[in-house]
Amino acid sequence: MSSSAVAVEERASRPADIDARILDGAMVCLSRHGVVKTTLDDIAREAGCSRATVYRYFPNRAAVVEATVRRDIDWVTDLVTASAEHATTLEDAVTAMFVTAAKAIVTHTALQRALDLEPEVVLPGLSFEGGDRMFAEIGGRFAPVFARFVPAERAPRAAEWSARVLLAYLHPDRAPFAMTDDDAARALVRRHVIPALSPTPTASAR
Amino acid sequence: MTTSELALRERLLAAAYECVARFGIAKTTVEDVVKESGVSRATVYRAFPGGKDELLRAAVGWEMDRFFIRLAEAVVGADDFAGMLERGLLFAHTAVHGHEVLQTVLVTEPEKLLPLLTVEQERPLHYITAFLVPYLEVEQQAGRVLADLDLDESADFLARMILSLIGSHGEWDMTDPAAVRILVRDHLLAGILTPEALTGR
Repeated sequence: MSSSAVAVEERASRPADIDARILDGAMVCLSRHGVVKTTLDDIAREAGCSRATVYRYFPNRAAVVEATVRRDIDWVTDLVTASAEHATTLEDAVTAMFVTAAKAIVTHTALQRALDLEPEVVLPGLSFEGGDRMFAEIGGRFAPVFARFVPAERAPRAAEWSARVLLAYLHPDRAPFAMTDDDAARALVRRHVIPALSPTPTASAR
Repeated sequence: MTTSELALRERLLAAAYECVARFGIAKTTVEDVVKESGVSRATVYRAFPGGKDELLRAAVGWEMDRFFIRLAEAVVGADDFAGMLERGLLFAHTAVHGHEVLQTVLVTEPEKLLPLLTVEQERPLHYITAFLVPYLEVEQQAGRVLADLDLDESADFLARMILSLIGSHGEWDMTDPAAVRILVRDHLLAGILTPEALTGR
């Protein structure tokens, strides 16, 4: 594309479109080159805009990467939430969310590439204190779904517990079964998740 | 491996761990381990042909094994299965937070340490699973587990969750015995033991 064509296209796009295009471009770059090697030039080229345009919307490369990841997390949250929309029981809701989340995670090119080749970039956000923050965020994000089935004050804990079980089984080398399989996910949910979310806790009721 | 080979390996791993504690992961060299252990460079490379990377990965695994041996010792003599898990989680949380080398390296070199911990995590997963199965068999013989329970599957589930909780406690206060009691009895074991076994009635 010639530079004048880019200029015309940029003028024709509304700011929100350019913003989204930059993030789209960044995600392609992250899938292809990884987190460390993706440059602002790569992102601009992939988004079909100039470096200057990227800098109009984001202060630096790290901010583009962060915004890309945040948007992606929002998408997956919406996708997983929507998968439980028509569920009438807690078991159906959690099973649908497990399968949907597992599929989104195992087929996520950029995430899986980073876990394989750049674990040092990803793991601090997922383990120890990073894991605590992640679980707190998941609890907040998915509490509304759980609040349809358990008392509202217990919904964040229910969401966190469910996420903890799912994530404990997602490591591809170690999982005894694929959580993307509806029957396998349902069996695990029925055995170990639903009883833990039951309304009559044994120890606390004593 | 012969006894002397094992003793040599142990000596080198202890030396490598000591070097990491002193210099960190990035700055530790095979030369440091040679000095610390008093073993020749050639012998170090015969035991660990992969050099520094192999030595450090094995040292992380070695300390992780020692951690889980201490954990196993800490739970001996608990009243019942649930009580054992409660004691284990309380001990593990305190031990992880009080582990000076781990806490230091998590702050200074998380990007170096975390991939090593993750690679080595498969061993404690098997270790904890194997540790738990006999206890579950005892519970089953006593009629204290739920119907149709797959003991191996349940032990594997518990091991995964224990590792998850040791790494990140999330919203659980793992220093509070009452909170850990709810965690163990209402959550971890809710799909494994009968309500009677869980409430101790």
